[in-house]
Amino acid sequence: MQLKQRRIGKRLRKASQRLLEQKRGPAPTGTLAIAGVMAAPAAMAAAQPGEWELNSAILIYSETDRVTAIEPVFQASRYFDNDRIFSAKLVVDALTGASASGAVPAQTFQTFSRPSGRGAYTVGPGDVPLDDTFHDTRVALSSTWSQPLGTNLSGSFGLNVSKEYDYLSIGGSSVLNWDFNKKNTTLTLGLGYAQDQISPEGDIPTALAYQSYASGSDAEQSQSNYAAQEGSDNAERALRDGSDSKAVADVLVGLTQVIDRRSLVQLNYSLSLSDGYLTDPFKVVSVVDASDGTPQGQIYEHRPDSRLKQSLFVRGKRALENDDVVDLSYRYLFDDWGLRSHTVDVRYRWGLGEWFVQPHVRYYQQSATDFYQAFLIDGQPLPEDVSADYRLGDMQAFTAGVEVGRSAGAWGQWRVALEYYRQTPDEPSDKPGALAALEVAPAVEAVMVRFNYDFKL
Amino acid sequence: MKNLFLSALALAVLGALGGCASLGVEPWQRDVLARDEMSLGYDPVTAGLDDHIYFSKEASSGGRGFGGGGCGCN
Amino acid sequence: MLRILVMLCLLHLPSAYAASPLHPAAMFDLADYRGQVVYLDFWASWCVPCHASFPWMGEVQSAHAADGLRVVTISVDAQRRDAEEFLVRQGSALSAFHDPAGTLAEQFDLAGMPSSYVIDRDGQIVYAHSGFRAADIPELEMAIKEALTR
Repeated sequence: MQLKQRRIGKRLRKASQRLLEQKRGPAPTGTLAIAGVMAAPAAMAAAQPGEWELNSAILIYSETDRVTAIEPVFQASRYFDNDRIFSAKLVVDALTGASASGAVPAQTFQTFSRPSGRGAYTVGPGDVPLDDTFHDTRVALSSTWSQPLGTNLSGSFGLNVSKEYDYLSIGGSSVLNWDFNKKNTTLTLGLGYAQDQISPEGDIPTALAYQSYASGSDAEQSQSNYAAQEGSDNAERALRDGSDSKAVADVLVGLTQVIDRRSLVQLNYSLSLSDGYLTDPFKVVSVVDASDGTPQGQIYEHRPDSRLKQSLFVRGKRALENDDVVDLSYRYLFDDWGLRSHTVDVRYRWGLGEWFVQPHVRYYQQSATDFYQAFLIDGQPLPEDVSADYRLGDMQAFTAGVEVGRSAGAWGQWRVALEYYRQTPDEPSDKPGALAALEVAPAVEAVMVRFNYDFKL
Repeated sequence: MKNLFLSALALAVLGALGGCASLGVEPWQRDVLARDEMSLGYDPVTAGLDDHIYFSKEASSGGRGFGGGGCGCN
Repeated sequence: MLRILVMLCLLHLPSAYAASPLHPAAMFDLADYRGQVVYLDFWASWCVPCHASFPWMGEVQSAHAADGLRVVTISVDAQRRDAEEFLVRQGSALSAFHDPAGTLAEQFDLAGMPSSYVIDRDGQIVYAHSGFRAADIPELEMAIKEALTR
């Protein structure tokens, strides 16, 4: 028996030796080379101690006539002995283009002061005012250390810094995972804290203060009218603070449960408390005439200085008999700003040997925050909090996309995704006079292209 | 209202934990669950990009997990 | 007598088994190893730490073969091919059984993957362990040495 065993062992050793020798020449690394020889190449095996896992991606996000963003990501994870992992991630986010200022369109040309107070821009009749000075580059660095803390307990601890031209965010987080019931159940506790500082160009505008504004029957007239009263907000500018800050604390309690050999579910409850300057210094609210609906000017928006968000998130994953994977999730979110939202996300990973195709659909619906108003009526007292940012209004959004990739291969894995995103904000129902004929909150359409490449060293 | 919600949630979690003991698989039956694409944390880079896009375009964020990283994109 | 029986069994098995070092679980009998210390390891190709445990098991087997140690590995892979590919990739010469239905795994009531047991010369389990991390090695080696010297 023992002798036989040894002989078989020798044969097996010889066989694997042969395989190794065959492929060692042209291939880059031993492990991957052998994987390449196998009749059915397996998906890239999980990283072993001593290895690096590298994940990279680039996303191009492009809205019709509005914002374009290019976002490269690079993440490197080093696996150490005893299930310890260090991971570092760099994200760069380059934005260009125009975004809605919050002001309403008019039947005339309108000239607006830039939020910084430096210069002005003019929009045509019926056009939704877009502030075209919107370009910025964000660089975010984060790192995480994960390790076991006991037989069934593991923790990960992270730090992150994000810097923009006018924004700095520094935060930390820690996540504990406790496995029990033969690792079929996992309880997760996450805590996070971030401190953000914003110092916009031209300083922090005074809430609810009027901006310089003019209109005219053509662009030139509008601009000359504007020049005549430019600086009417100088007194307000002199009062501005250079920067403001906010703090965000997050708590997450999660439960992950294996249902059977092919499915698992996750349930998360999250709570997020933001405190401080939550206003968008670049957004304004138009003040319109009660009867004819023409804009009389616009004021800087103001949001409450605290926000408590809570959400419930349920997700299920199931591998079907043919090994396709269905990934379903739903989130219900509500906050003390009066916002309620529902998000449904469905992905179907269709395996085709070494390749896969993954269609994706997402539906999002939110109800407006209490202080959202598409415009204010001239002559009425100003509310304490008001924002005309369509992102705080009633809105639906829909995403449809498809991802294609190759999940095997000696040179790593790549995949490419194409997605279409469409936001349809609700049009305000009570538009007075001429405003009734104009579209205040048009749909926003975007196309996203993403390319991912993962490999190991 | 909030307290009511929290206690309902606590009850739901406790109930779920009790029910969970009878669910699951044996350690040797994790072949399918061990696959990359069955992991809930699969593809964090893409999840991070998606979260960031929706965070800057919608008034809701978070919930899925714990990604860190504040940004001034709101 | 036992050996002859085993040989007979081998002869009557489908040819797929005869050409492979991976024996069916039904052939595993602890009694075959009476008088030897057995290090029994349950593994699977999809189990991440199992990849790290094989080189170590190979070393332990060659270091203590003369003292009467037998490292016996049992794959719980559902597909035989996955287990075979794993063994070839590892270049493993260790005794290997294939338990796709988890019959043996159930008998040993595994706590995790991989799971290993040190069984003394009388067939008694003297040590059980689940998982495989570098930090576990000293303890595992201690348990093996203790069983060998007993």
